[in-house]
Amino acid sequence: MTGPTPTKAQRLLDLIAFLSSHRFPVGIDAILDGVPGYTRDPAGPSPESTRRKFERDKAELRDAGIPIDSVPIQAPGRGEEEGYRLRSRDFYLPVLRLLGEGTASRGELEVRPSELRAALEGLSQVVDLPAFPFRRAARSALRKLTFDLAAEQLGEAPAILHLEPARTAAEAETVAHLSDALLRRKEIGFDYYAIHRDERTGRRAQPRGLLYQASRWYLAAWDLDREGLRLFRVDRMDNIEVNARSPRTPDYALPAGHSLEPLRERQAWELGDDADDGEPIRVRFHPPLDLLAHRNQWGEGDGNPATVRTFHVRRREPLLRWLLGLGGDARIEAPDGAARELEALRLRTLEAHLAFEPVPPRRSGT
Amino acid sequence: MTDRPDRPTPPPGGAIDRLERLLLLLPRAQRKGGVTFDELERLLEVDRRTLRADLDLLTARASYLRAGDPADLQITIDAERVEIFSPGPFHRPPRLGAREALALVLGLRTRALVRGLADTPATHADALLARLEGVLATRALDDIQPLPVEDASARPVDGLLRDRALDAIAERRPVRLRYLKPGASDAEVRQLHPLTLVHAEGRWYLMGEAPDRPPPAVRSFRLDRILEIEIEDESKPFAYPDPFDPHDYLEPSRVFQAADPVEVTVDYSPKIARWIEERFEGVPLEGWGFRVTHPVADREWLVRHVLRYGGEAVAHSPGREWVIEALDHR
Repeated sequence: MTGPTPTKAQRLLDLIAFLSSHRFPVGIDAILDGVPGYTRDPAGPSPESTRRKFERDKAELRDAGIPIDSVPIQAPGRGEEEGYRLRSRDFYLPVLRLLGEGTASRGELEVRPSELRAALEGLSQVVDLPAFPFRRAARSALRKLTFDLAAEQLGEAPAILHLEPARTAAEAETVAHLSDALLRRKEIGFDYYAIHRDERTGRRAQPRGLLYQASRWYLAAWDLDREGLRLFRVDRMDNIEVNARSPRTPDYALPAGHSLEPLRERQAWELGDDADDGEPIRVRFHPPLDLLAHRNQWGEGDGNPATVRTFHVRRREPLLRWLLGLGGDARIEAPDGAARELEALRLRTLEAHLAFEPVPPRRSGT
Repeated sequence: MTDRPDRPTPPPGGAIDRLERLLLLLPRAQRKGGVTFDELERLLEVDRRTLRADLDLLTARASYLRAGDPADLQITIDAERVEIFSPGPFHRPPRLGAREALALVLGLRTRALVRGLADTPATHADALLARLEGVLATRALDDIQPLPVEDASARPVDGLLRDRALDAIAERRPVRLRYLKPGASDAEVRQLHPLTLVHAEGRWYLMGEAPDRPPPAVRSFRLDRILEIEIEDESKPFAYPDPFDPHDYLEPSRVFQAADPVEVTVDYSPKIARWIEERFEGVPLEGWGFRVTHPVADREWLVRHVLRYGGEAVAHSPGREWVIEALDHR
């Protein structure tokens, strides 16, 4: 080959062009001869290293969604070997035609306007989600799905704004790292700051999911040492290491029927042993707080009147503090012990404020 | 290391980033009349310098491709636009790959949750996805199940109200809110021209213009305190304020609107100081916990905030008196 050596992006583009211009699968020799980035140069790298370069390119392109198929072909004089194919119909996005706007031709895909709107709205929402690990992919999908649409067909931009917490930029990299391990089903090791115990411990886990809730990212993972499902706050994780052995082979499988649903926003008083139904605590919400209790489905309603609601509580203290924060319009009806505890908490808080004498800030360096 | 003048300067991003941009740029520039740089900047979300570098990368291929190679492209570039003719490949963008399909599924599920469309948003999203399957690459579907990432910020209990708010925003219809203001003795009815939904610090807010207040009257209402949203279907669509940027009415990462905020200092005990240090900026105290000074727009907020920590948080004046009054009146 003469002239400059193509860059990697050029080589990948040339490989796609070469494969998509062949109707039938082509063998490795034809590829190495036909794609300038691999063309054999007596002064260049060995045939083995060129072949490895092609294998890496192929894997990267497949990861990027370019559907290069491997199919057996007959090579003259060598019998069966692997051939490669990139079929136009698998590779190119069909023309999207909105239902009701003319008749679809061959190769066109009819979509309902409402469905396309839903897809675009959904993609826009995740693009805006702080530190969303597939933001780039979502943006790319948006560009592709709107490729055939005129601006007036796109409608209004979705009217949802996520304010990014200040820490999001730092968190984004960690979330992306974890999502990669999760997709490849690779075990991870990391240091975790357990804030209740104020200690940092090493953990090993199998990622089961990522949850964005209360403006924070959480990793749901099977803790290999504690043998249980745990929710880890991502901003408390450090030194994450993904198992580097057999990177293309999953370390584990997700259990059948796996769902993140049970982990979605649980109240502090609901946390604990899932086998424990929790202690029922009946709370009366006086007007106008009863309106919010009903609106937000706090606890469970007892029918009419809807002002008394039952909470199933595994840890009393968080519920008592929450009720105290609602002011005197929330009172515990039963059990008496919980009502007395709430009253004691009120008196303690009152006393703390009546007797309060501020202390000075710590001097720097101490 | 010596410079290699025959090799174009690589544009920013990795090779796959560049390739993905080129695979979108190429079909767009093959349309009759080509495509303007302005349009490409918007489409690809890159600056002119990056676009130029991407195009250099394309034109440089002529130096090594054989004459008549089907991969060779004819590229015309002027000051405003670029037009490309290709004898064969790159006439359409690629289908959605596995990650794009995953993003689409997550987007559909998030939308279903935000809109409160169904008790089983997964089913709803899957049905939509099945209809859109034709846009996915052949392998994509195999790679995206089961779904491991979820936006759980949208509580199902808010679904109906969020859906109504989004409809009103899209149709620019005025709404009447039944809203329970903190500390109020009853809900009040407020008129609003809804403009956007905001999610911040784990809460949802409906932001809009209050037509019955002197402008600028942009207000934010906590969604969990809105009891009802009634869309005024009979009313004319309201005029969207122009210009309007919601960020002008928000702090960078939270919803806080106050004409004249009061500063209140709160001391937190060592028992909870670690959690507070994670959330707020403040100073450690000599032998006892952590101190934060909060700008307070609403006295009720401060009282509820302090009470939620039981006796582990104590407010300085004037917050101290507010808390004592709230606790003493029970």
